[in-house]
Amino acid sequence: MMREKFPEAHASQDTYRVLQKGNVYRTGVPCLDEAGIVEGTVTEVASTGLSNGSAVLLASLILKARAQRRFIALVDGMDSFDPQGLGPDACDLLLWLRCRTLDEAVKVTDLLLRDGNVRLVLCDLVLNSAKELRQVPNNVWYRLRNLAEESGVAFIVFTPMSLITCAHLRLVLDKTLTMSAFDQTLEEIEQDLKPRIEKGRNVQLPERSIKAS
Amino acid sequence: VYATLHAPDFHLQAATMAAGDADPYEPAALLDRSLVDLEKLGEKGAGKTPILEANESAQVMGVRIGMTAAQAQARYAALQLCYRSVENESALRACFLEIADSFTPDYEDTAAGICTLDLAGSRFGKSGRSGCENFAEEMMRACDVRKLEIRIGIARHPDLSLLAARLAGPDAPRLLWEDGDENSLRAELGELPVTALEPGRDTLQVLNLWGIRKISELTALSRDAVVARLGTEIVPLWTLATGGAPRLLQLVKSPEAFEERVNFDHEITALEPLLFYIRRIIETLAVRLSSSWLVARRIVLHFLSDREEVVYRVALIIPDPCCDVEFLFQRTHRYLENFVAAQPIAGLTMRIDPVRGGGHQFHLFDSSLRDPNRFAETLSQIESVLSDDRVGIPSYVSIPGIDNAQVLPFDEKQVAAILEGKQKETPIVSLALETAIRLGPRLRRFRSPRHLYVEIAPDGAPVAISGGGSLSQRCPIHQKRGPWLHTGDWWHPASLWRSQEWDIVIDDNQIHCLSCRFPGWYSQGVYG
Repeated sequence: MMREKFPEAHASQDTYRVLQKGNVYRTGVPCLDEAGIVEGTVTEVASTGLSNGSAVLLASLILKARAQRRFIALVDGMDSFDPQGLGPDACDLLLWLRCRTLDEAVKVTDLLLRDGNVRLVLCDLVLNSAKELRQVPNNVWYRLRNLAEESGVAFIVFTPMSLITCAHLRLVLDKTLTMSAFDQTLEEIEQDLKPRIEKGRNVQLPERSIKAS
Repeated sequence: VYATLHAPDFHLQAATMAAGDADPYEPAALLDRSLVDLEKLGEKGAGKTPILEANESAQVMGVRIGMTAAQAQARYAALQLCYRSVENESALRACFLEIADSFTPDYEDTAAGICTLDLAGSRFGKSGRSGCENFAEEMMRACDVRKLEIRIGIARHPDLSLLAARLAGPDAPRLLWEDGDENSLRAELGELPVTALEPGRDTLQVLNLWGIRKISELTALSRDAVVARLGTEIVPLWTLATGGAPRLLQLVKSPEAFEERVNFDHEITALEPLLFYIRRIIETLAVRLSSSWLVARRIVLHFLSDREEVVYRVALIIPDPCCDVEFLFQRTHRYLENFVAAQPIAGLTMRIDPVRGGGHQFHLFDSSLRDPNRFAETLSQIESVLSDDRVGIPSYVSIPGIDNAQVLPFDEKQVAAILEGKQKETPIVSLALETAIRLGPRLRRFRSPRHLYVEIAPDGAPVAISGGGSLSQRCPIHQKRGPWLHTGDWWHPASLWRSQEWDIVIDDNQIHCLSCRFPGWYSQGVYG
């Protein structure tokens, strides 16, 4: 009742409101689609270790976007992305922003979210130092979240720990890869990842609001 | 009010003008080489070339159209013979239109040597008869300067003004002007010879047989009866003979120039005053563009020195052509923000290359960028934060053991072609490569190499590693795969390199890609 009377007061806490407004962004990656990536929201994919499959998720997102003919952007926080591992033409529709510092990554992310032309922005901060990441003030993440909401961009951040308090959805990758992963295909590794939803809701939106991929 | 400029003997005038200092009042005749096969007749055949046009002075001397050149020269030995030239005629026609353009923007290129001007919008048209007389006077003066011989006719309708021009003398413009009622105009027209209507040869012959010499004699007959006997081709002549009917001119549209030049009173050394001028020019050019239904494709700026030399040239591409003043100014401003001139700027030329604007169907079918201009701006901002070699589409040359990833500049057209499925898919080169791509976790590369100390077992396999950063302590290797041996530049003994790679699992279950290449071991990256 109070929510109906004073919707603005609940705006910052109520992720469901945003999820209802936005369209589900079908990434084509099953574990992410199950969780529900929504346009105009921030999704954090936190890895508890360096080899927890976040790079696999990142690669899958890029490959699926290429297959769906969608133009996406990758803000590479430590210039660590390896296009060679994805094959020829896989990155034709990827705008790669090779940052060397966290400061650069935040600045270019801000610009991309403000622009709104790229509907999916990926930000890989897994190799950035944890100390630096903790020093980023919360208001920076809130600003990025507001920009994503305004421009309707689906913003997915890969972090080495649970970091973004204002994220609409947080998935945690806590299962470590083993040597056997080298004999598995990308899809098989993805299926084994089973990210845990730490924050946000696994929203089942009405079919009409789901964009055809 | 309409005025017609008529250049008598137009082709001859064009030919004599090309001759340079030839006196236009000397007897002259025009020949057309194309009418005689000179190759067949040889040099002697030149005398058989027929005369196409002869000026008044030549006609006084007995030279007639249709005579051969030899016959004409027999009448007057000093006759000046000119050959027809299409280039000269085009030049004269352009000169003619240029003069018309300097009097009014509304004019018609009626025919070769005939130009009809609409004086209604000009200062001459507003002053009635006296304005028209002033116009004729100024026009005669302008043509005299260019040594053009013209006749000027002024009337209420375009066709009537042409008739007036045909009747005008060399220095006496003709005004067919009804000050009172329409009857006075008809009376004036009625006194003119019927040849002024320029009827066809057959029609003129019939009219002569009927004994009709004046227009009044023609209009005295019944129109229907004349049409029944001479056919419908007499109708335009009849209309003209009775005062003409109004018609719309097919106006000549002069080519638009989207260029402006400013010479500053004082040399400019700061950005602000320069931007002030640039904005003003953009506003002017944008209005001109939109009135022509065009949009800007490229802005070209030339900065001039005090000697009027171009010292800098800037060309800015507009990704999604438009004529929005704010955007064009912002685009220029953003570029000039980082621009440093080595010397003061004394002048500026701005040119906009136009293009027809593309249509958008309410974004129904576009799968490309929503706002390409904004994206171009964002990209340029990102490039200023990073650098242009760190923003773009990933590219690499596949060489095992070597990281040669780089970025290609973002090309909107190429991306749009892929998005719209217009570009052919490139097949993956080999099955082995496809398998390698599909299998295993992905590598995050350390682009600044992380050198490691590696303990090697007697069989050459790594046992433990230690180094900087998170690997400062000795880390035993729990699992390993390898080695994968690579070699390169083997055709140059001096630059030959060999390397071996291992995939290793250390504490915290981190999977590293370990590489050994001169001068030592280092971690290429971490799998994740």
